[in-house]
Order: sequence, then structure tokens, then C-alpha cells
Amino acid sequence: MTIRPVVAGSLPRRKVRVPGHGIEGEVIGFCRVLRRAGLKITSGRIIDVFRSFEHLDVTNLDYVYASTRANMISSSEEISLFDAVFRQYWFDEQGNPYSDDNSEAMGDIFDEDIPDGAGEEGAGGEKSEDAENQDQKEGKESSGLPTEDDDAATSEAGESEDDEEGTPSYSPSEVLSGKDFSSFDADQIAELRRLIQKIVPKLATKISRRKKNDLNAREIDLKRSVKKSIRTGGEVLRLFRRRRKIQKTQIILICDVSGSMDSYSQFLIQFLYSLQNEIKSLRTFVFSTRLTDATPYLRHKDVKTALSRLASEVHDWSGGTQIGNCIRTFNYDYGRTILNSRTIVMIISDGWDRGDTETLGEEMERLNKKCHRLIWLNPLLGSAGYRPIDRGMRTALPYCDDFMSAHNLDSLVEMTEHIARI
Amino acid sequence: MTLSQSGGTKGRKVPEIDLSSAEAVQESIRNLDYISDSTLATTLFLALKLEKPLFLEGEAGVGKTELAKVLAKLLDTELIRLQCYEGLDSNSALYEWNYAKQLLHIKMEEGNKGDSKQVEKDIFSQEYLIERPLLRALVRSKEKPAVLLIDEIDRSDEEFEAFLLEILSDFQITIPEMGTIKAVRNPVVILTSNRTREIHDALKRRCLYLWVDYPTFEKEVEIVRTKVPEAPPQLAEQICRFMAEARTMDFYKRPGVAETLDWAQALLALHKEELDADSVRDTIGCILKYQDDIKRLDEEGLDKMVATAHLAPEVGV
Repeated sequence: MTIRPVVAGSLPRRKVRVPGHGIEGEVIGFCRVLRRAGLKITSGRIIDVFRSFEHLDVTNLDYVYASTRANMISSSEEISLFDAVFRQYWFDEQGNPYSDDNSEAMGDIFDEDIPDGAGEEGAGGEKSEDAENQDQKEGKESSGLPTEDDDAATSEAGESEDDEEGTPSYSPSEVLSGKDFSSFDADQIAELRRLIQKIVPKLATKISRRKKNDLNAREIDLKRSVKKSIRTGGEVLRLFRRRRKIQKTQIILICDVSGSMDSYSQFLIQFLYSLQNEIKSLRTFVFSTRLTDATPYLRHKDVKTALSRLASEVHDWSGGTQIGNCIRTFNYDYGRTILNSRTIVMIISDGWDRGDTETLGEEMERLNKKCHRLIWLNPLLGSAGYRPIDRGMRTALPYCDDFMSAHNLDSLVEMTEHIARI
Repeated sequence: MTLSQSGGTKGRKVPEIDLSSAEAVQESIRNLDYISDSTLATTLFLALKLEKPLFLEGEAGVGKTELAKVLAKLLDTELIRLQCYEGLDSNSALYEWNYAKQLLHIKMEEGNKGDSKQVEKDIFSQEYLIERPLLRALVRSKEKPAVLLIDEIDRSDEEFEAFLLEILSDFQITIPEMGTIKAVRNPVVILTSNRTREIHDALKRRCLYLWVDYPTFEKEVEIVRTKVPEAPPQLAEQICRFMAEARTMDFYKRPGVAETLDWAQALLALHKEELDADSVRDTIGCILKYQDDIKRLDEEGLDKMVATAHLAPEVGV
């Protein structure tokens, strides 16, 4: 008999177990369900669970709970997921733990939707494969868990919605290839590039609290001086010095290319392109309803080629905005690997969001915690009388370290100066 | 201190403490005035048995640091604390040479026309070594394991995390001038974090994870009664009911258990038998530390909350 995947749903009805292997079988089955639900279950962790069991009375579910939980999760966000899976796996639908008696009888049974407990044994184990698959699919859809399918479904839904009801502020579809970039004249582009060359060194450094050797620095490195003086019989002939290390920061740009940003797009594209070519380690992402990693496209030497390649990849250019979901995608798909305490994240967007502000708030908070500085550039801030009062912007603002305008070259100069003062 | 060339960590024995089961642990720390639940006690018990570091996360003031202190008392051993901050380096975490003393020694040897090799040997001996918390934890864990508290790890930087990872996996430290120092027993390690930033997965995976939540109303009453035994029972209950309510509100800094205890002490000092709106206003600084939060509490009906705190006698312990 094989173990079938179960996805934690609203609440338990099915149960997977490895019969004939006692508690070990149960736990392995449980671990697989956890892994299926998205937790990182390494074999090291499973081994530690078994090591834990040597010291505990495993007939007491409280201990099973505490020991598996301590070993299997590594952040508080995972607790609710863990609890749901635990309930589903170890308890029947009345909330009673499976006892030894009925677990024998249950074997590898997937219970059907039978409300009363008496039906449990009656459900039988002869469900066809199709029925089971169907069952699982339903479980997945109804579950509130972040499965891949779910995400895909949401983003699709989001897109179709946009197509149907585009409000004036979210202008109708328009593809990049139809835009005339040549209106940005050569002088302006040259100026932009000069400016960016000025910004970059200021953005790309952070003074570390760690020290490095530097003979011209002021602070004396006593440790080195003494150690070196031993060669000269303890006479300190030469003073070694050190200073704070300057760390390279990584910059990540997340740029809104939705409809409402259209009037700034030309400028933005130039900005992104120039920045990308100035800082090789820069990562650029663009989003409207979906997040796309634009870095490889922008690396092309010729600006026109770069942009047309990008345009062919970003299908929802000038579409609606779902900032929350896109930041979420960023956090989940890229955040773990590319963010650290030296990363500056710049979000360029007007903050007009049609998505879920709760998600936006949560994800902004997460992003803020994982990076060195979170800067929000809002082109609207340049227009007279603008106040960040729309839902999206209001939600995101508390998590931004800086909130600045970026509608023209002057505002960029201002931004540079501001960052230089930090 | 053991200078070991062989790396035999495996055969080391589990510390012999009379903490035979999770209940025993819960009971023992209860006797030291730490109120826990079964999950916390079991996790703590496992951390001791498996010799895995315990990673505690939770809001500020829920008793994370306190748990380490209680554990040290329980094991009747030294609590070695390393407070983290950005830029914390091996000189302050691990060891440092006593330069001033070394210099003095060198100066004194100068007149003796001694062998400079011997001088070097002298000044890089244990006498000139300043033990910092991590080294001290390894050295002191002999008959009994020391309790090493690495507090607020979220304040340190990634360099330190990586460095810690190395120490926590082998429990040995190499000092180039002296050799490798290895713990006779693995110290009991507790890491705490207030979640101002995410700690790297690699470090967390090495630990048992425990989320320390705000206590339930009943637990908190028990905590107040234990820690502030002079407080009248009805006052304790009212305080805890008020706090439970306050924690549901959207404060910049939500009050923790530490604040509850401070507040109970304060009200006791004012000879209050019951909670009333005026004394809450007078002592609000005990539980809320931001002006905006205090304003919000006042706006959202402090009087009503006090009234609610007086109700619901059937929930009492």
C-alpha cells in the first residue's frame, strides 16, 4: 500500500497512514503530508523526531504534537499550517484522536463525506483512482493553503478581471511595441546616464560595523600592532590601523508598469535600462498583475532590442495592478535567496492597487524586514496636491523607509542627495 | 579546559539531571515560578535530551529570556549571556587577548634578554586570554553543562549568524595561538529573537523551534499570582482581563507579560484593591510605552475596558 498525498483542507476527513508500522509509520506518513503542505521536512528533522520519541510517552498526543512541532517548523507563520495538518492527520472529524482500535479497522481508508462517525468503517477502501484524484483536487481548491495551483488560479482570475473592467485610471491594454521611445531625446538620455552614474556609488554602499585593515585610517588596531611587535621583541615600531568596512549593497528595482503608470513609462524604461547597464549586480523586476524578472532582457546592449525583448515577455504591460500579489511573488520566489541586510529595494509605483490591501500590508512588512532599506518612488508625489491617501499607498507607506518622488530628472537628483545624506 | 587533538564528540553522555519526563520539567520550572504549558515544557525537555539548541521566538516581554534564567537555575549552573548587536564580532563573542597585559609582559622581559620565542609562548597562554561568552560556555561546561543564552539574535548581522552556525554544530573553537578548545559537555543553548528580521533557515534548522505566545487569561492570572503574591485575587484577574483585551487592539507595541507584572506591582504599591479608570490612567505608562498607543487606548474607551475587566466572574480560576 502506498501513501497518498493529502492536502490540509478546511478540516479533516481523510487519513493517511502506513499500517503495520506503529507509530513510526504514522509519523512518516505525517511528515509526508507536512511536506506536501509546503513545510521543509528534511530527513534530519525526521530523525530528530524519532530521537525525541525515545524520551517521550508517544501514546500521549500532546507529546507527539509538541515534539513534531518543535522539530518540523522554523517560524511562527508555519504554526497555523502545522496545526491544521496535525488536526487533520491525528484526529477524526469529531475532534477525537484516532484510537488504536479504530486505526486497525481504518487501515488505508480514505473516508467519504459521511457526517456521522458510524459511517467511518462503512466507507470501505475500494475507491477508484479517479475518484481519489478528484477528491484531492477538490481538497486543494477548497483549502486556504498557498499551493501553486491556487496562485495560478488567482493571477488568472486577476487578469481576466482586468480585461473586462478597466477603469479610466487603469488604462486599457497597450503593448510596449506601440510606444515611441525616440521622443526621449539623446541629450536627455545622456543626462540621465550621467545622473545614474552619480547615484550608483551612493546607493551601492553601506558602512559596515565590521572593521578592515587600513594603514591610513585613524583607529589603531591594537591587536595587530601587538601581535606584529613580537617580531621586533615587543617594541611596537609600527602602528596598524583599521577602519569601518564599506560594503557593497545590492539594489533591487521593482517597477510598476501597469496602466496607471503609462505616462511615466518612457522615462522609467530609460531609467531601468540605464541603471541595469550601470550596475551589473542590479536585479530589475517589472509588474502589473504579475511579476516578471526583467534583468536578463535589460542587459542587452542596444536599448531598442532590450525593450522589444522585454515587451514580448511581459504580456500584461499596462494592465491592472496587483501590488500585494506581486510583492508576495517576489518574497516567495526571490526574496529568500536574493535579499539580505545589504539589499536596497526600490519600488517604483503610484500605489494604485486593485488587489487585496491586507496581502500588500503583510508582504510589505515581510519585505521591509528582509532588506536594508525599502524605498518607494512614487511619480505622483511630484504633482501638486497629491497625498498618499489611496488604499494601496496608505497600506504600504508605514513599511517604507523612504518615500520619494521620481517623475523627472530633478526629482532623481533630489533623491540622490537624500540618499547621500543617510 | 580541554585541549583536544582527537574529535570524539559522539560518545558524550547526556547530562545527568533529574528531569526524567516532560511533566517533571514542567513541574520543576513551575517550582521556580515559571508557568508554562505542555508544549513549552516538552520542547524544553527535548532540547535537553537531544542536546539541540532551542530557538525561541515571540513578542517582546513574553518571557523568553526569563526561560533561560529559569533553566540555569533548574540545572544549577551558570547562565552565560551573549547580548547580540549589529557588528558583534569574534573579539566580543568568543575571546580576545589581553593586549595591555601582553605588552607589560613584553616590556618586563626586555631587561632579561630572554628568548623571544619563550616570550611569545608566555603571552599567548591562558593567563592572557580573555574569555568571552561563547568560549566561556564551552570551557565552563564540565560536570554540568552551562546555559548559554544568545539573546536577540535578530539584532546581529549575517556574518555573526554564519559564525554561530559553525560553533553550534561542533561546539569547538580554534584559537590559532593555542589550539582547539572543545567542550566536555555541550552547553545548553537558547537563542531568542524578537523577529525584527528573519534569521537564516540554516541556523533555525539546527534548532528546536518554539514560538512563545502571550499566555492565556488563566495562565496569566497564575503568573501574576505567582510573581506578585501580595496582589489581591480580584485585582490580578482584572488586570489580566484588561491586558487580554488590550492585546487585541492595534498598538504599535503590544504589552507583554513583563508589563503585566510591572503594572500589578505598581497598582499594589498604590494600595489598589480593584481596577478603576483613574488609577489605570495614572499607571498607564507601565503597560504602554508610546504616546500614540496611550492616546488610542483612551479614544477606544478605556472606561469601558475597565468595566469589562470587572465583569465575567465565571471565567475566574
